[in-house]
Amino acid sequence: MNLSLYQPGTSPVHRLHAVWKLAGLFAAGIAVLLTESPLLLAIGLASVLACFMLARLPLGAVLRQALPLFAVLAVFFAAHAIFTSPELGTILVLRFATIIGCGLLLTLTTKVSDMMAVLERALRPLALFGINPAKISLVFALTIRFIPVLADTWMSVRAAQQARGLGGNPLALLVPVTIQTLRRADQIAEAIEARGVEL
Amino acid sequence: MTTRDLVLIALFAAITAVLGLFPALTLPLTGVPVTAQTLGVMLAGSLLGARRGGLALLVFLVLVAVGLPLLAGGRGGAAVFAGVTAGFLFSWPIAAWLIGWLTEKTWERYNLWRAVAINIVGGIVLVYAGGIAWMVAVAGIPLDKALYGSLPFIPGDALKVAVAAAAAIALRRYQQHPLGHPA
Repeated sequence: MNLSLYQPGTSPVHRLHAVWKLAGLFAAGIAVLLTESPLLLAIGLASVLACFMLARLPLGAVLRQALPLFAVLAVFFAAHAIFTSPELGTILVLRFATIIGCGLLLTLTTKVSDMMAVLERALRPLALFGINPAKISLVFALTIRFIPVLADTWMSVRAAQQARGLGGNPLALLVPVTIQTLRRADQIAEAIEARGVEL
Repeated sequence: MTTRDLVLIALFAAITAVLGLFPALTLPLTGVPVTAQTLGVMLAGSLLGARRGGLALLVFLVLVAVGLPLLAGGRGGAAVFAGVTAGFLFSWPIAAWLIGWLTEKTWERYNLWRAVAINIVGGIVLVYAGGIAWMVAVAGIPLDKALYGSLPFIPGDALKVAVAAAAAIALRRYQQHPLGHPA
């Protein structure tokens, strides 16, 4: 199971620090709200596309993420063309497409670990409010670790219930998986505390 | 928060992710598989309570935002939070919190019908309100059109409400003491 959308590469876009890419995303988000000129917005979208060319991402990986989002945008444009005006629809679609493009570029060219590092640094000031940033980091790390474990649990329970002829019953799947998860929570919490992790 | 609370938050964030990996439900009559991530919202709220349930969904969304493809269909990344339907996603932690809060309030009298009612309030009313408000405010879609556009998804969500309520009741009977009072 590939738990990341990151596409390895050595382009300038890949090498740019995650903080700057995030800052760029926010700046783009504000910039598209400042103008209603379709021309300026189209220039913005074109420059995002230029960045995609610069990043030399595999087309398949881009389309797999982009197509569902742009399918919604197509419906959205049609709705505007019918119910409000095509002009408004064009402006809004250009805005959304630019921001979605920026977000996609960020995700495809940045490692999850780099994003987490930025996030953890951003969360550090929470210590002033009595929230331990180490706890938050632990929760994120645990979640990432648990996903494949729970996916395994899910598949084994599903196989067991199919053998009993309960394959189509969502409760027969959900309840045992959740029970196993709740039981596991106690063991994991004990294991963490037994190792003397100070939180 | 105890270590156990943190572990539970992580586990239910992970359950929500796993629910997106597999189609859990098949709609009766049409046979359309429904990926059931809002089941995770309802389960986290009704089993973990307001605080932990809301945080579990927040953790899930943050992991999606930093680039894990955890949404149904293997989608993820910052881009999904800029889309026309992002309001539904933003509603999830609030919905889990609300479901948890209502569950805590009715804990002594909790039964299947209350569970269904609570899941409808949090899992449908609040999530749709958030999703539709976003469509209207951010995407400029007229309110009535946004409402009609959302209607086709109601049957699937109604089914999830029933499943999540039944699961919460079954688990409550099973898990009364180890889980204790939520929150």
